[in-house]
Amino acid sequence: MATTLTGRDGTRVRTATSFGTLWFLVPAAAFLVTFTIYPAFNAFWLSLQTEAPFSGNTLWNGLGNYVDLFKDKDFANSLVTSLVFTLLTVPLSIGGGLLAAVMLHRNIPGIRVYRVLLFLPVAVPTATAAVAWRWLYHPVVGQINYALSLVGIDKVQWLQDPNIALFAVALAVAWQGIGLNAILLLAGLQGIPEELVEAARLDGANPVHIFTKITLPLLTPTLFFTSIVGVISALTTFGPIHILTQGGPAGATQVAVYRIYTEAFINFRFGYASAQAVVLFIIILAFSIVQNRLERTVHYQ
Amino acid sequence: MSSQTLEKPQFKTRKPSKMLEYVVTYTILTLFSAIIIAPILILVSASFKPSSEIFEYPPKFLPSTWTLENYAGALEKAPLLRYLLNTLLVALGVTFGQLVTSSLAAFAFARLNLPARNALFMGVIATYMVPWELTLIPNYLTVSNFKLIDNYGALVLPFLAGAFGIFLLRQNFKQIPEEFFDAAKIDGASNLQQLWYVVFPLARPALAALALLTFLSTWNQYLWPLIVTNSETWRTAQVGLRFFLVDQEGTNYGFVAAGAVIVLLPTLIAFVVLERSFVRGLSMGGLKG
Repeated sequence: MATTLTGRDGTRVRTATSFGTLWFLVPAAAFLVTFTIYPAFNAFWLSLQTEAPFSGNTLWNGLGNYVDLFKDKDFANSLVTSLVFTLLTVPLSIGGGLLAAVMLHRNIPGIRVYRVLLFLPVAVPTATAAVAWRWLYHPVVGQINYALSLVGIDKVQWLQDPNIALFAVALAVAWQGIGLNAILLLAGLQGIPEELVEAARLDGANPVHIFTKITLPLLTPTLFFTSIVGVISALTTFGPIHILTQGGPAGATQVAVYRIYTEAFINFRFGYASAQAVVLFIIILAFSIVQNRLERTVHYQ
Repeated sequence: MSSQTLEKPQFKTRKPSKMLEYVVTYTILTLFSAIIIAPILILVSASFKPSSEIFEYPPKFLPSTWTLENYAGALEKAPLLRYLLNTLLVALGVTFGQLVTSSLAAFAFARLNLPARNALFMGVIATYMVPWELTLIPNYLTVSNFKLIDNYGALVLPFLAGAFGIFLLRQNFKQIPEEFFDAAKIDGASNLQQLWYVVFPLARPALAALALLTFLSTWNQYLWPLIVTNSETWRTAQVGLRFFLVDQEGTNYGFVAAGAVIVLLPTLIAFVVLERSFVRGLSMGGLKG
């Protein structure tokens, strides 16, 4: 592998490929192996074990956990809940982010102030956002129900009604994503050559046409990126649910990660929880692969 | 909306239509901004309401009398400043560690003739596909075996290296022109010296972007700090605020609101002051990731 050069005086000069350079990788490799690579394999290994009752020892269980999982209604429900939650959250947060980005993509006095305001959710920590939304959703004195009462709509039990809670949590989580999506999509918009839009305008295209025929297609790489990031983060949402509903009411917001958390750290069934984590991992991987493929076909158009 | 055409007679009508466009634009922007920041404004307002006003119906947008009693109460009932200190130290530690491990590895991948360089790099990229949720349980077992529960070690160590940082920096380091390194080599600079004196000054934006992304995501961590901290002393702000909510919501909602605002302040202030750097860092990390 070592490339050698002949020096001016005919001696061979060794360049680079020396094993000494591997030292540069040691710190990163040590942490990656300990906290990512080893545990990734270990998760599969753990998923084949079960805990012996009372003793705390682990027993070989083969594919037993997966067989149990297959019959486990709670787990199947949690996967469906995660998917619905993702389908609610991602379009809301990308739609909101896109709306914000389009409005911010102009040079008018004071636009910087609006940028700060519309990007602001990015700076709001998860727990603060959840506390704020819990207050907004308060069934009696919450501002949302109060606003609805002004237009004659009865009080909604946002976080207490099993039919509504998942949507309410999705709205709160989508709100938090709007800031980051607006930032990314505005950067994408700013990357679109001004001349293209100008040329279309001179050709008499109306703003709606310009947006759907020029801006949106050129924005697809950014939209794809935000949707991949959005889907993965929605599929793994935990904090906001833990704070807003604790998986309730009646399991309505019991997403997959919440289930894994409960199984592992409340029931201490590490083997079974690991099998659930493996299934979730496969679903996330499948999503990324599909989105990757889609992205390629769209790019070639 | 814009009625710009090339015909001259339209010149006169353009001004009112431009005015109208401005009015519409500012109105929509203001309305949308108001909706977006409303949850935070309402929270802040609640944090300044005396307890008699908190559960008042109809709810008022602003307090009739402003009070700081909720802030005093919140700081008395929970060690919120300790939580923030924990979060700050953990986030700084993780950020510093990531910068060190990622820049060393990225420099090696970008500049050095490592043995099996491509295979190793693919290995690093592969770890990017491993979601944190898969490694959660094994990592929990690891840190509890090392007796790191309720310790900064558990909060910091697992995050000291990441594929994303290595990838981001490597892409950036590769763009540095060869001439800079040639000059350094003629001066007899070692690899480490090249990293320090050539790469670091030139790659500052990428390093800042990685630092920002790492800091923010560590600051916002929830599930991991929840499972590796048992005692109040070691809680981070996110988890601490959640326990504070459970503890006080029924009796002192104002305290909870004040606590949430206290937890919000550090990142909010940093964002408002450094908005441009935030935007640059996040879009750089985003577009390259």
